[in-house]
Order: sequence, then C-alpha cells, then structure tokens
Amino acid sequence: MLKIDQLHVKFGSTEVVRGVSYTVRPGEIVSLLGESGSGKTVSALAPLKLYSKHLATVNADQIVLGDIDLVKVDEKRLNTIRGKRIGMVFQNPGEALSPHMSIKSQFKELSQVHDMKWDLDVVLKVLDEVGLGDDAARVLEMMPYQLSGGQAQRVTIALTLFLSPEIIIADEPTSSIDASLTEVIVTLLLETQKKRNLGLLFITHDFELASRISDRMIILYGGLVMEEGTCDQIFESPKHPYTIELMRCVNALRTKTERLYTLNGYALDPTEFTEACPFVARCPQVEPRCHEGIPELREITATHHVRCVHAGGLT
Amino acid sequence: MKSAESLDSKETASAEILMEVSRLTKTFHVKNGLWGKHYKVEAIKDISLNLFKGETLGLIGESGSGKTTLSQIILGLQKANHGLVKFHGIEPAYLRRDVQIVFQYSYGALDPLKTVFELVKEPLLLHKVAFEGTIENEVSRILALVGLSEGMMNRRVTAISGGQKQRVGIARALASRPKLLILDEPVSALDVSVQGQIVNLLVDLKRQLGLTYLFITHDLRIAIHLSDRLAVMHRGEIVECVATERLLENPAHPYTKKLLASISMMRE
Repeated sequence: MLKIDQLHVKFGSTEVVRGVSYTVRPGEIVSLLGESGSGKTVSALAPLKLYSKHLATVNADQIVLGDIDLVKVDEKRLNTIRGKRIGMVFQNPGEALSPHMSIKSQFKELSQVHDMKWDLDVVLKVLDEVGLGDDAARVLEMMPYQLSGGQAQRVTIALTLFLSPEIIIADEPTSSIDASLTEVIVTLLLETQKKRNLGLLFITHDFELASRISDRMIILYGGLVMEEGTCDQIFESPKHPYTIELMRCVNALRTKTERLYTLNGYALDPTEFTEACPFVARCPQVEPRCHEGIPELREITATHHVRCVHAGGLT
Repeated sequence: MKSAESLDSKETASAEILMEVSRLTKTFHVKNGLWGKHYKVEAIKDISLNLFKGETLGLIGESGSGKTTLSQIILGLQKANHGLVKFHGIEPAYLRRDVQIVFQYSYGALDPLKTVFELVKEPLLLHKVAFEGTIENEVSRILALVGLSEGMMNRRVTAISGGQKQRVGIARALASRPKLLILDEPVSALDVSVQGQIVNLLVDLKRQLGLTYLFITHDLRIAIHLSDRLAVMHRGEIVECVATERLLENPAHPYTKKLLASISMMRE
C-alpha cells in the first residue's frame, strides 16, 4: 500500500502541489484526474523523488510504502524501490525506451541494476503477457525505432512487469503523440492489474476514461484535491462545481447540440496561484467568501471529500 | 459500400465538388535492420473520396490506419504512387494557399522564440496576403477571428495556455484565406474544459468564412458532433463513407460496428 499524506512540492518559489493526500491499495485502481497545471503528475512522481532536489522541494507529513518510510530512506535504498516495488509506465514510449539499446539489452540492464539473475524465460513470459508472445524472439533483437507505436508501448509495460512491482504508476501525457494508442495501453494495463492484483495509480486528464476504469477518483485543480470519492459517488452525486462543470462538458458530446458546453477561461498556471479557491475565476457559483481563503477538504461520507464552501449544500 | 455511396450521392448531387481524390495508393518500403529483409507496407490502398464545398467530412480510424498519410498526400507533403488529388480540378500541391492544416500538437508546430504577432505575420507575408503597411491590421483581424485579444500579440508561445496555442495554430492556418482546412486531431491534446471552446470556434469559423473541413480524428464522439459525413478508415482503406446519422443508425462494415460499440461501452 502506498500512502501519501499532505504532500507539498515547490519548484523554486512556485508551489505546484499544495497539500495532496492519497492512498493506493493492492488491487485498487485510483485515478489522479486534472488538467495541465493541476499538479497531477508531480503529485504522483515527487514522492519517489523523481525530481532533482536542486529543482524541487518536497515536503510531506507521510510517504509510506508498506512498512517503509520513503521520507527517510536514502537514495541507494530508494533505487531498489523505484521500478522494483513501484513500477512506472510512461505512456510516451518514445521517451521511455533507451533509443540506442536493443530491447533485449534493456531487459538485461534492468536485471543488472536490480541484482537479478538473467533468465530469458522470465522475459519471454512477460512479453507473452503483454501480447508479444508470437514475436518475442524478433522483438528482443529489435531497436526501439523499429517497433510500431503499439509494440513500443507493450514493451514499455513488459519492462515494468519484468520487475514484478506491487504498484504501478501510469502517466498519460496530455499531449500524447498519437492519442489513439491510449486505448491499447489502458486495456493491457487493466488486464495485468487484475491478473496480478496490482495497485494502479492512473494519471489522466480524461474524465470519461477515468470514470470507466477506476475504483476511486481524485480530482485535482490548482495543486489541490477538489473532490475525491468512489466512481459511483463522483458520478451519481458530484459535489464540487468543478466536477459538475467537467461532467457537463463530457456529457455535452452525448447529445446532439449545436454548441458544446464549455467552461470559460483556462486552468490556472501554478505561478498564478493565490490564497483563494483556485476555481473562483471559472466557477458559476462563486461568492465573495470564495476569495477569502482556500476552503477546507470536507467529509461528505467516509470515502467522499469535497473542497468547496458550498460542500453538501449543492445538488 | 458501393450502395452506401450511391445513396449518398443522391443527397449531395446538387453540391459542388471541392476536392476529388481518385484511386490513391501509397506504399512504403521498410527495411528491417541494416541487413534485414525489405518489405512493403501499403499505407493507402486505392482510396477514392469526394469532398463537397461547405461540408465537414470526418475521417476516423485507429492509429496506423493511414489517416495521416492520406492528409499529407492531400496537402502535397508526400507523393502518392498512383492516383490523383484534384482541388477545383488542379493538384493541391500548387495551391498551398487554398488548403491549410491545423495540427494536433500545436506546441511543437509553433516556434517558441517567436511572439504571437510574428507567428501570424509569417504566413501572411509568405502567401503575400498582406504587406508591411497593412500587416498589423490583418494580424489583429485574424486574431479577433480566433478569439484572441490584441493584448496577446506580444506574448511568446511559451507564455500562453494550450487552448490559446491551438487558437494561434488556427490563426496561422487561416492567414492565407484557405478554402479547405485539414484538421488533424485539433483538440486531442487539450483539456476537456477547453476542448469545447475550440470545437465551438471551429463551427463558428466554418459558418463565418464558408470553409470546408476534413476533420481527422480517432475520437468518435467529437467526429460525430462536428461532421456531416463520416469516412471510416481501416488498414489503408476507406471501408465506409456515409452521412453521420446514417452511419450511427445503420453501420454496414464490421469495423464500423466495432468502433460504435466502443463509445456505447463508455459509462452512462
């Protein structure tokens, strides 16, 4: 189980993540949903210290993986956790694979880094698991540029599964090179998640996709959790105006309307964060008190939390 | 497919044909490794397609189906092995002004060192639509069209949001006063709350300027929303090309049925 409590991340003097907490349990799919600048990727990657400490200042009350306190562990120990216990799938295969190494060498390098005995059978098994079983021998000899987009993504997942992690963090780029490949990787991730009882933290900007695949959704805006709950809670009784507006945007596409429903303006850039609710500029229900400070994350039920002055009073 | 097309032509018989794609074929020769075998990839197999003036034709299909290759041949950026593209009876490679493209990844298509003003000025000068004396007025006019204020003119692309970048991309495409816009996944890289703004803008521009759109996307929902007709591509072929309503009511090809099933699978 991965548990993050009150995570704050600063890049220079700009605070990008302003107190985000979340938990990922084995066998559970949790979506971190947000637009660009919401802090979703940083919230997932900063706990693993994936940003240089010269760049990012990471503070948290608690970052725990099982029985290990990740705040306290040193870089050497962390290297045995990243990849090995928490796998990462970056959905842009062009950036995830080393361009000058054959696929086989990339598997070999992984096993060396993590002190594993080289066993070709294990490699063939994971390649089979990601649907490359028939081509495995050929794919292993290939260089990344020779793979098709879909194959490269399968290889990326195979490399992640090779180390048998208990949790996988999947990051979907908002500006994906070929958006239609997302479907392939998502289906595959869901299959392996189920089969291996993994905890999956899925970072996305796609509301529809998140609602389709996850057990719980965490909706971020302006570096803060705006609403979190089970998929049913979010879908059947969304409480935050941002969630409600997002759903209206998504639903507009289901009905044949002349004009699509849209939100005014753009999401905030972290340099524009203030000590008010970050959604004030776009919120249809904005009131003077929304400008007075950041609302607290309030409990609606044990699993459903909302950060809005109207919380509970909205339908 | 034959019967669908003839049904369709009845409806559009009165419409003027803007672009005619006939029997287009494109094959790539791929070498597998330095000493590996050569093999052929047929990216486009004998495609014929008419685009009528004022319509939006949605071109849908998964990655690798040949959508982008087709659009590049139409733009004259690649040469077909066989077949012809005629725009008002002329090959569009010589008509860059009339056929323009809006890219998915506007971030990569825009020079980060230039200001919004410079980026829109460039195509105006290139196509000799405006000259040094009139250029500022023309840039303001186009920026107003795409909903960008004059205050944006001196901002660099790195300092504006994704939706604004896509507006700049559309402004650049509009600079030469084209008749046909190829929209290659124009909203796929945008946040949900911004997608609608750009889709609505495209609808407005089409009406205002009398444009014709070839809208390439994998996102069936937006394709259905925007398009008058839909062409479904699968493995380099157009398997079905009919009016949007007809495709929804009565998909003929198994691949189209599969595609439609994937949207009904989404949560209600």
